[in-house]
Amino acid sequence: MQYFLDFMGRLHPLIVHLPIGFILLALLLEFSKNKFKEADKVVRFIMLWVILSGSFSLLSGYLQYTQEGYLWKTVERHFYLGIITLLLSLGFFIFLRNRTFLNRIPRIFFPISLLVSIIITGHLGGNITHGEDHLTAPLKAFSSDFLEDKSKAKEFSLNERNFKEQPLYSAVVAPILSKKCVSCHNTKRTKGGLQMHSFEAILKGGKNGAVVNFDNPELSELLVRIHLPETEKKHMPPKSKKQLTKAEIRLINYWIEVGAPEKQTLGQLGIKRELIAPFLKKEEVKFYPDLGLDTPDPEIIQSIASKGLIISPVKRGANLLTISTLNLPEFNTTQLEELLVIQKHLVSIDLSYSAVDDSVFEVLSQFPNLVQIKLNQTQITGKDLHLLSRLVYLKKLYMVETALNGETLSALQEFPSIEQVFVFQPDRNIIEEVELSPDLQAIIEFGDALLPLLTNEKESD
Amino acid sequence: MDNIEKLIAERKAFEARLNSRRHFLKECTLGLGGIALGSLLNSCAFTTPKAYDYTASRALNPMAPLAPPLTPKVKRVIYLHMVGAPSQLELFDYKPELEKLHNKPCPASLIEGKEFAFIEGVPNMLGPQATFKKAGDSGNWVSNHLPHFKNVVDEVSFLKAVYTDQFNHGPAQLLMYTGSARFGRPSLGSWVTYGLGSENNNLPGFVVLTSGGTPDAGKSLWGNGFLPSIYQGVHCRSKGDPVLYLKDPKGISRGLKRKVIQSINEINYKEFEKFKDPEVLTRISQYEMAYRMQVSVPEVMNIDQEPAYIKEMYGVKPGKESFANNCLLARKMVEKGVRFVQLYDWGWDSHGASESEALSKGFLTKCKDMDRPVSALLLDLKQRGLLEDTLVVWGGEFGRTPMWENRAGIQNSLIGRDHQGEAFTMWMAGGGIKKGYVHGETDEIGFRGVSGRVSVYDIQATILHLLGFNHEQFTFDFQGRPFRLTDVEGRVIHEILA
Repeated sequence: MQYFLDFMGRLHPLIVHLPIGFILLALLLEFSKNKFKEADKVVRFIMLWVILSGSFSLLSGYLQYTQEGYLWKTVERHFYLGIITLLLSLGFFIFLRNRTFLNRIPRIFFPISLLVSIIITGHLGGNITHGEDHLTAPLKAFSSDFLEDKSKAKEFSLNERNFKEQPLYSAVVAPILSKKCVSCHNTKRTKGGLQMHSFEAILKGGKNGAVVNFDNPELSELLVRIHLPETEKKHMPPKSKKQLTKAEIRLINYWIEVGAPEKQTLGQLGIKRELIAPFLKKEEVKFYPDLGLDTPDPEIIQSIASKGLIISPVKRGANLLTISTLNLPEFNTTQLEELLVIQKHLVSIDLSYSAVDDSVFEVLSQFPNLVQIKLNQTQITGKDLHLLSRLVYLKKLYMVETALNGETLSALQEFPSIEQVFVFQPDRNIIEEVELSPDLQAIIEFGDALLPLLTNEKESD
Repeated sequence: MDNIEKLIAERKAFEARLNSRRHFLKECTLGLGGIALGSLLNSCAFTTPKAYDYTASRALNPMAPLAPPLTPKVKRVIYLHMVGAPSQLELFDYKPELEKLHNKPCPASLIEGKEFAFIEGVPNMLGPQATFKKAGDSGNWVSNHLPHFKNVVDEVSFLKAVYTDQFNHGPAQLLMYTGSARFGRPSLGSWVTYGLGSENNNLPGFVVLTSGGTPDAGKSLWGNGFLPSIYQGVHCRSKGDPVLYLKDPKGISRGLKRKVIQSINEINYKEFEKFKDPEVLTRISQYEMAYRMQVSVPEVMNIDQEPAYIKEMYGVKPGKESFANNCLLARKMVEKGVRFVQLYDWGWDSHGASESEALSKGFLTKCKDMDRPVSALLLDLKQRGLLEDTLVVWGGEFGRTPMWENRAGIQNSLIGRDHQGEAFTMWMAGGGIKKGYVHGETDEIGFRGVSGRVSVYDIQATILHLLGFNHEQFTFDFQGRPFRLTDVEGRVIHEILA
């Protein structure tokens, strides 16, 4: 019997669409009844089926409420409006028999009120199964996009840098539970009497007792349930629902093993990397900035390419440009000035092996979006290097095998985005020429790598 | 019927290619069609200005550099291939359990139904012929045969469970470089130069350097297959003339040579105007290239100018053909913008059938000759910032068995291992690759991969990915269907990507 009731209850979402369809059909016919003969009779016939299917819906709906663990508060309004819709249908049916006590009411009252009540009832029903904001969420997203609401950007995400300061429960465990458990265990729907929407609720447990066992964590009901094979009836989440991933199971396991703390952070707990790694959002660091530039003028590019420079977008179809003077050993600073026509588009320039001198820095500083500059095998000494501090995106700077004066490197302190600088000189070691802060030393590659001879190598040579 | 139609269409396209250079460009050169369509659509719109066609330069120079379809992590590749298949069990894949089984008969269940190149009957197991220590900050295992490599172990990502379905050298090498164990497909370096061109006008885009001997599969390993022949690898020798027959004969001055080449090219161009065969254009640009290479190649191939300590670091042997020389040359070449440098070092086939093939003898010499130059190469690339946008790949065509080889059923007198395709170690280093990382694991005796297995195709897909290609979309139409390097396989090994 229990199973039958459960089954009938679950039929509710299916059955309800019958009276909805019938009512809409009856209304359509009612609004164009002048086109048909004997429309009244047909409408009445349809309304009879509305009453029959509607009663059945009401019954199955009540069964579903009792069997599935919904809170009365959630279904209350849907339930009453369902009854009102059924009564209105009954009223309309009686009205159509003519000469009854209801015929004092204007005819238009029934179709209009039926239409309104079926819309509201249906919507409330939808809210229960799909969630309150199911229908309105896309609209909200639309409006926030439209109004350029930036609040979304503030959404918290766990990443490599911030994870150690975050509490294990609220930053990792709670989001998993709310994704995979809370839809059945919440204040509105409380299957097995268990609510999992908050830390306190989880501690309280369900009708079968506590789910977290602090004395013997491994025997916690929560763990037992998620570890049962999927075929077991007691396995959670139920077979038909979205399952926990292995990483999620491991993490919940860990959380309970360390005593299901609420406030302790991942750092305090000293969580192992492999446990937390799947939950860290990988930050995709783009090497080149998003500048939203227009397509560069093809004629200008044509003229640059015809001079023998290698000019190429960073990838096919991109508007950011890279230039190399590899095939132009005589290229000098004056020629570089001619490239100012693509000032904004140029993000990477390779002037290695060219004839540029220290005047190059002045010109380079006028290309505001440069990310990478290569000046290897040139005559630069680094005088005026400080001018490059104007380049806010500059990340990588290469000055290998040059006449570089090590003292000029202190100017790098002022570079806003600099990440790596290569200054290896095969003929001398410029680390000896200069004193630099540890921060700077960390980003400068001085080179001078050696592989000392080992004893067995000395013997053989 | 479909196939016949495709073949007819291809034939027509081929004829049209002969007729018009423009057509050749649109159809034959990678992605040109798409870009052409893009610019065509652009021209329909009023607001967006027409984009520059970067591929137009390929009309006159099939090696003109092209941007890849995706943002690349690296611009160049140095591929170090240890021909003959080095033993992973003596270099990187530490298996203490195997030591306990040393000289005990191999359990029948391990070899049942398996085919080996030489092993017959029941071989004995062979414990690791090396001692291992954790090296670097990453604490990854490196054997005592590679003392210098320990200095750079934190730069590389190991792939410990690479597998191949070939157990003979030639086919396995072909599979590694052409995606097919049979002849006829373009090599990895050819695909790359076809897709990206070459930056340096005076140097070939795809250079091959060999030491110790020619690899078993021969020149097909750097062949162009069905791609235009300009994309084949140029084999440079590190001893004697770098490129054979490139030097002017006695009594012929460079000026005279220039005139000769000019005349030949004029005649060739007339031939081209008559028949419109793009291979003639290839020939013209190859003559031009050869002329320029007469100066530039000896210059880049000359390691004498390098400072003494650099030469010492690599352990070069000037005037001789050596792997160390080739490693230094590889650095010099990528520094000058060569796209793909392929090194083959022959002599790693440690069966134990002769002294040079024994793990206790010849193998140790090979290790010593490889350890210093490879470590020096990584250090040198790093200090020059070249490791930022260069990919270094190290590997063999397959691995070696945890069993002591018993050729014809009798245990080899010297210590050696047979071929094994099921699991072997490779590593990658450079731009876009995780530092000090290990992906994949073999079982307790190193016989089979148990996790993180990657195929030869996965390696190829990853290399193309780093260069900015989606290996599934990088194709060339031939014989009625689009071909790709990875055929129908391949998965980018995202686990080792930074």
